[in-house]
Order: sequence, then structure tokens, then C-alpha cells
Amino acid sequence: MNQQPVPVGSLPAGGVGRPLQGDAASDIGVELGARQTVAWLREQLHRFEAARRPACSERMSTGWEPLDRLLPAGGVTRGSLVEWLSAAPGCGAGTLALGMARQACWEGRPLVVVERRGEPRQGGWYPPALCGQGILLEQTILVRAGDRGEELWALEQVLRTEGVGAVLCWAEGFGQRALRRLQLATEVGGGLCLLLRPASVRTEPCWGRLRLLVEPLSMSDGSASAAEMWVNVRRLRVRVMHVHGGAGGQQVDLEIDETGSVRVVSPLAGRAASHKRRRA
Amino acid sequence: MCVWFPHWRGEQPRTSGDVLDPLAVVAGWCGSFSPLVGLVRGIPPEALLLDITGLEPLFGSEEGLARQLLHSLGRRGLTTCAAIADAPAAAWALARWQMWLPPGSACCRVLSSGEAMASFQAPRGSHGFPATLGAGEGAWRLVVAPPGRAADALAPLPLEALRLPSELLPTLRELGLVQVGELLALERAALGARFGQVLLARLDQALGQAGEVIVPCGPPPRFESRLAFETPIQQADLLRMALARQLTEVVEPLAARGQGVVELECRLRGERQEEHRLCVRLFRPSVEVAHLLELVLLQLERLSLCPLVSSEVRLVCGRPLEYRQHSLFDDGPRCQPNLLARLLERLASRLGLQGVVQLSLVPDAQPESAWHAEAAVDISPWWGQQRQHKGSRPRRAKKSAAFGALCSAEQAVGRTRTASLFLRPLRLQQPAPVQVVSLVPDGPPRMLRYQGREYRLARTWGPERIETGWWREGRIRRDYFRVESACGRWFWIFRRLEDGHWFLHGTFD
Repeated sequence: MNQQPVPVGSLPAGGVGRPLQGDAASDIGVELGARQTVAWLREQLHRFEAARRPACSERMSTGWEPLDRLLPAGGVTRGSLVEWLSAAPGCGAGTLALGMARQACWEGRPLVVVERRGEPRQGGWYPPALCGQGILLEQTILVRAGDRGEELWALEQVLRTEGVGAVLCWAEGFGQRALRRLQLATEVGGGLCLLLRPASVRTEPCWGRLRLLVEPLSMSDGSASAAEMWVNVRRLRVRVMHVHGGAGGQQVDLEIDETGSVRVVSPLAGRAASHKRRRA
Repeated sequence: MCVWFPHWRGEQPRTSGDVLDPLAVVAGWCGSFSPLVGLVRGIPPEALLLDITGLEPLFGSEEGLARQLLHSLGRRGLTTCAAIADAPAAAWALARWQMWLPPGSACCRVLSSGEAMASFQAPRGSHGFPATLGAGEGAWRLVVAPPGRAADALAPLPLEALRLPSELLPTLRELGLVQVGELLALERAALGARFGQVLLARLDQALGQAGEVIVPCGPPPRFESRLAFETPIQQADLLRMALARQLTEVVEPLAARGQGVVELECRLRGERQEEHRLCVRLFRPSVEVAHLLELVLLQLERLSLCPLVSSEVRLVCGRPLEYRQHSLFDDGPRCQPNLLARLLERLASRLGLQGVVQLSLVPDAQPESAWHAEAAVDISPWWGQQRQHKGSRPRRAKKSAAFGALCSAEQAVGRTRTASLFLRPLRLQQPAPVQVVSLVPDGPPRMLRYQGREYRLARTWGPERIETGWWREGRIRRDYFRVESACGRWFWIFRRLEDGHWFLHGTFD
């Protein structure tokens, strides 16, 4: 039997409009109804957003395949602001963000790196490392701003320019209004804005389309065998804090080796390894 | 008199004004020595013709005039070969082909800017001219043919010195004629019958028996606009209008010549005679007034201006405009060099030239010196790359490109190790002192104390010894370690071998 098409704007059967029937309207029923309604509302929002989105909003991979699987439609759209929250310096958020930048610039689009002039306390981008991450330096422009005002101005100018692949910036102390302006500028230019921010802002509202929290995982917590301990790999946990058109809260543990290939760390691997050690 | 520039292509005149036509600028300098200066074009390299008839009393002699002129050009970095003769054609031939004159020739005198030049003998057929005498100073050599002896002076020169048609030269060579003297020895009537009137006309011009006109070269155009305000102004709107008008006055005649602005100078004078100088540099030539005005105003925003009494806009450097045909099909939202160039110009105007840089690797083992930032951004990589990357993305190609970049990075830092994503930290900082605990002396670190926090180190890789820079002041001897803390953070630390102190140099973000 064919289902009747549901017109846009009308609630589905079994949504909030469905009356409860006696004792069957138990908690389970209410919960199911609420879930359907939320799913329906999400779909409607997604449609409205898709209609509002600029025509050039093509999907692209994040550069890290396991991460793509967590995101709706398997990636991010161009013209998006992506926040990478780093728990602390040395956590690996920059490596993941650069993977995304490399993906956004593969067509020969320029990568623009914006940073404050002078030597920041945590250090600046190191070009040989950028090169080691697969970034082509001849297609990279470094913009050095004098203060935060200039930094925001430069970011907005770059993001509004059509054809820029990605913009990368350590964003510290940016207010909500500034972030909103950056998101709007990103939508105009169609590039990708990658902001690296401290994890302390995780409770602030997110104006971007995607917010990811990167936390380091230690290999010494018993999850790795003695042989694995000295292999050139590092483990990172990526948690989706916010994603436009999808549900946040998912997380994945990644293991990146020195050649840049990535694999998902099975949650059972650690238990099995520790169990083996106990038996031995 | 003729002045020929043997190294014209390699050197440009040091001028502070318009460089649209450098030879015309040089001709303008020569205007103070001769009332009639003309250009010789079409035969590279280029030359100038000067009429110096009757100017001896002003400079003592023709040689004195020539010495002063050539010395003046030499001070501006120009290397010159000059000749004085009865006719323009003979002067050009002696200036251009003076290397064919035998040493110690009795038919003409040779003067030069130094002893080294006088004794310098070049092989026939080559310019064979040292570029400069000293640092930045151009050398010169002058040949003076006595009046009425042009035929003797021209005799040793090759037939090319007569500016004969190119199709005639092989025929003459086949007949065994190489030098002008051999041609002059032949009967004139036979020459006309065999080779045509062109040959006779050229011979007459060279010997001064036929007239030749020097087409005068006017002063080079100056693209500038000056505006004196009736009353001092401070309002931004008024200043904007004035600058827009001045820019239009500068740009319009420039655009009519097919040229665009590359560098522009704007001088604003206040009522207390203070002067603000704004310099706008573009990556590509442009004639759009709105864009130029925006760049000037971006710089003005950073100044605190008092009331202004005058404004001057002047073209410093211009280049031919670049035209690009639009493609029939849309290339999509790929990088558009025009937009990118404008973005860079806006950024450079507001942040300064050092605010927009391009990075490159330097083959230096010292981490701080392994890269270089160049202020001039080359946008050519984005020109014409549109089609190269069209189509679906080949996955293997991406990997190989990334690997290639990685290898080049490794070569740049002088390593031959296996390519590694974790070879260098993503953020490099000034070395910060840290305290490190090792189990054995000079052993790998086990504990790191930094900014009041202790990190137990779970994994370490190293040491990687870097010992370099002995030829400069900052000689370094370091053992680098990549370490992972128990919480999973990665640091790049080193031990200074001179005193055993530890420093944090970067983080693997």
C-alpha cells in the first residue's frame, strides 16, 4: 500500500498531534512520539537550511574517513565555519584541522593562515611541519595581523573572497558577534573557516556548522601492547559537540600513524590487551 | 653622436619617476646635453641619437660633452658604448660595432672610463663588455671619428654596420665581402646595378652624403595630479572625493596607453607642513579607480590626520595591462586570480607589506632557520591551474602529492629519514626552559616540569642531534626528543649540549 505524501509543514502521523489512547499512552509511547517529532522537526529544519544555503555548498570530506562517518551526509559543506576545540596545546587538533584544510585546497585553491604578529606564547605555525602535513607552501599565504581587531578584519576579508580554499586561525578571545560575522562571511565566500579554539569555550553557543572537541589519548593506559607502545602512532578522541543538521554527542577514537593513515581504535582492543596481560 | 646600451635588457635605469618607457626616460636625461635626442628602435639592444652640432663651446669640445654625458649615465648604473661621427648612421655603426675596430687604429680615437676598459680586448662578434666598473657604476667607451674621415673609420666594421636588409647580407658574404672597406673599394655604379639602390642609399647615409633625420623624442609623460585645497579640509568625505578625482586624472591617460598602475604614491600635506606619504603597491596592474581608492583609504584609516592643505597623487610604476579571455563554460568556484590579487592588495594596504607573506623552506638544519617568509606573494601558481585540477579527484594522486611535499620538507631540513608526519612540531615557539628528570645521566627524559605542572612522560623518541650554525653567531648543539605525556600530549624538547639544560621548543598540535 502506497503511503500518502506528507506535505511540508504538516505533522506526521504519530507525532505530537496523535492523541494518547488509554493506558497504551505509557512512557514508552510518549517517548517514541517525542522522538518521531524531533526527527521530523530536524528534517524540516534541514530542508529549510538546504534552501537557504548558497548554490556552491558542495559536500566535502573532512580528510579523515572515520570522522566523515559521524557527520550527516558524510562530510562538511563548503562555506562552513568549523571549530576545533583543543583540550590543551599538544593535543593534536591542529593535525586534524590541517587534514581538513588539505582536503579543501586540493583543487589548487589557496590556504590562508591568519595569525597575530610577533611570537605568540604558544608558538606560531611551523612551515616545515605544514609541509610535512601535505600542505603546499606555494599555495599558502600567511597573514600577520597586529592585534585582534586586525585579525578579525583580515579573517572576514579572506573569508568573503570567492575561491579561497580554507582559512586557518588560532582563535582566542573571539566574541559571539565576531564568530557570527565570520560564519556569514564564510557563507558568502564559499570557503572553509577552520578555527582552533581552547576547550574552555565548549559551553558557549556555537555559530559554526560543526564543533569538534579533540582530546589526546595515551598509549600507556593499558590499551596498547608493549610492541605498539613504541610505534610512531598517536591516538586522539574526537567528539562531535555540535553539528548542523545532525545530532551531536558521537565520538570516535582515532589512531594516526606517521604516514598519515588513520584507523579507528576499537573500544574492545584495550580490554582484550589488558586481559591478556593479566592472564600472562 | 650615438649612445648604445650593450646591457640594456639586463639593467633598468634607476628612476624615481615613470618607468613606462625606460629608454624615453634616459632620453629625457640626455636632454640637458643636446637639444635633439632621438630613439633608435627595432634593433635590440636600443640606442639614442643626439645632435651635438655647434655645442662644443658649451662643453669645451665634443669629447668633453660626451665624457660628461657618459659619466652621468654611468653614475646611474648604465653601461654605454658611444661614438661621435659626421652622420647619424656612422655614429650608430661605430657605437654598435666598435669592437671590430683594430687596437691602435689611426682613423679614430678610443676613450674609455678606465684603464681596465682601455686594455680590454673582446673577441670579434661579441659585445664583450664588462657590465660595470665598480659597485653599481656603469662603464663607458667612446669612439671619435675625425670630421671627413668616416670612410676610414667605417672600413674595418662588418657589413651589418650599414643596416642593410637581411636578405642582402648572405649574397654579399657569398661574394667574399665581409667588411665595409671591401664594399667601398668596389665601383659604385656596379654596386647599384648588382644589389639595388638600397645598398647605395645606406652607404651614402653612413658616409654623410645623404641626409638622415633624427626624430626627436619628447619628454616622457608624467602621470600625476596635484590639488591644493582652498581651505584646509579634514572631513573624510571631502578627502575621498578629492582623491577619487586625482586618481581618475592619473589613471585615465595611463589606461589609454594600455598600461595599469602597479605602484602609486600619495602625498598629503597638512597645514603645519607635515607630510603623510602613502604608498600603494599592487600585485597586478590595475586601472580601476574604485579599487585604488579603497587601497588608499585603507591606509588612511590608520593615520590620524590634521587639516590638509594639498594632496598629490603620482604614478611610481606602471605595467602593461593583462587581458584574459573569459572561457565559454564557467570554471566554477575555483580560485580566481583577480579576486585573490585584490584580496592580497587589500590585506597588504591595511597590514603592511610584511603582513602578507608567502612561505618557503630553506635547507637549514636549525629548526628556527628552516623556513623563510617572503613579502612579495607570487600569485602565478593560481593562474592557469583551473583546468589542471578539473574532474574527479584521484585518490592516489593526492597521496603522492602529499608524499612529495613531505619528501621535499625532509630534503629541506637535511634529513634522509623515512617520511614522517611527526617529524616536526606544528607549533614552534621560542625555547622555554623546562625541568626534566632522566633515570640515567644523558638518558631519555622521564618527567617534564613546565609552567608549574609536572608531566610524566610515557613515550619518548630520540635523540635527534642537531649541531649546526658554526659559521654564524648562533651556533647550536642540541639533542631533540619527541615526548608523549601520560595524558597523551606531545612536546618537542631539546637538551642543550653545552650545559645540559632542557628547553621546550614546540608542540605537536
